[in-house]
Amino acid sequence: MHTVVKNLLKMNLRCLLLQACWNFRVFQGVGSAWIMQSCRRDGSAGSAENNSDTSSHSASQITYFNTNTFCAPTVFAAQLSLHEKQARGEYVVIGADEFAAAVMAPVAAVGDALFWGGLRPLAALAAIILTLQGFSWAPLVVVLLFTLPCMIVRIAGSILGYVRGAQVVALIQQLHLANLAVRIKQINIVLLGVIAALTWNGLGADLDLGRSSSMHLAALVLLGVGINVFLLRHKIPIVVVLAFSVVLFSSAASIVQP
Amino acid sequence: MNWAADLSTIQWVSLVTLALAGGLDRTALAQTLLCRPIVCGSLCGLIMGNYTAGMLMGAVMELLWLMRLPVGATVAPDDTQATIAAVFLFCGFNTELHIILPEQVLMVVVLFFAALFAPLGRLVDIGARHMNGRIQHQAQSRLERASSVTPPCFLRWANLAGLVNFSLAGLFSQVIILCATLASIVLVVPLLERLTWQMAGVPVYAALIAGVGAVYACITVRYGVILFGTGFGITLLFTLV
Repeated sequence: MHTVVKNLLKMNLRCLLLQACWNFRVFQGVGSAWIMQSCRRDGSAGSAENNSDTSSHSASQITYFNTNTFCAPTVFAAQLSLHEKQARGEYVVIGADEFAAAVMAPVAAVGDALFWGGLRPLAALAAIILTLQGFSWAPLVVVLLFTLPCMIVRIAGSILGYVRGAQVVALIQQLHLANLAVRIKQINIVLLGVIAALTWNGLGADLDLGRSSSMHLAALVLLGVGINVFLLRHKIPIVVVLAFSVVLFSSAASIVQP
Repeated sequence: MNWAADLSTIQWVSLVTLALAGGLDRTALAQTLLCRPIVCGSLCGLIMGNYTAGMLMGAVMELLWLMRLPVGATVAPDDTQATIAAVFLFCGFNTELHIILPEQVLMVVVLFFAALFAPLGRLVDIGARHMNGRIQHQAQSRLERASSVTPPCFLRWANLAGLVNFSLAGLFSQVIILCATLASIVLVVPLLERLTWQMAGVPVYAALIAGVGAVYACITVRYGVILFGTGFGITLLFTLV
């Protein structure tokens, strides 16, 4: 038990360096080989000698590996669990290396959509709203909403992966993480609306407008967002859109207050 | 244009550490979001003695690049180094420059050029990844030659070399973006001096609106317009009440 905890802890720490040697040939392959090398060695230490063939073969190969960095400990822990079973001569549904090769892409798809596409924008947009409201601790929201959940997922995922082995895939399916990612994206759109409204409020205060003029300004802000979205969806570079937006609103402001 | 900020050794060391840590956090190490503009911009502002400006510049930069996701083989423009460079330059120039241009206009000008040169950092990052490919190739050939009895430590060294590679790339990227942005400001600010800036706050809000558009353009969900309108409308009502 003590060895297992030590192995999982070491694996989790090494997972922080999974992408240290990221390259276009094997993506996270070097990191994954390094992580699994020590896990295999430690995990097989007390097992029968019949494991030496598989581990020496795997240790001499750096193969393609690419998955979501926050879900990687789950995959590695399940891989370790399968490897230990194989080393003990127990029956496994799928081999350790075959398991990793089979699940890395689906796990990457779910993890990337949830963490990069959903949670990261959520944390950033919440922090931006608080910044616009003048809260000086706003950047800490990023830590609270993103870094902390990611750490929890890393640790809990490695424990679940080790305990459940190949069955952890079924657990990921049951959690409906893809649906959760869509819900978070919808919240992000609402937060974007809030930022646009706060921008309108700030602009109105800056230009010292009355209520009726403020309504015209709200329409202008929405129009500005619409034009920017149109331009960006037509592959116009962001710096051009930024310059356009500045010129548009500065011109509008000079018309209102010549 | 004179450089006004008299930085202490601790400030210089902190700035280099921030650039290094931010560069590593993007890909190579942990990915804790220290590299995100709103975090590293605020920290850079804190080091330079203008936390509020750093946080606001970080917020604008965050919106502009938020949806450039580091997924698969995609390498996003280096918004981390661009933000640090922008905040560093904005906070570093003396009040003389603030007289030439209003503070918030200068902020947007610096942000514009930093964003313009952020893709240069991307090229440096891509170069580092290609170099990592060579490191991996060497590690692979050594692994194949190594005895299966002794556990080889080539993988550890390959990872360490990759880490050094990424940290150097981050610093190199910072130097390039900083120099390019500085040169552009020196060239352009005297031209902008001729324009009159009565509503100084407008450019920052315009940049935020561009950022909102940049994020919205990349999120595709059902009923997106309705959800955006709901957020906008509720906030508008709260503000009016």
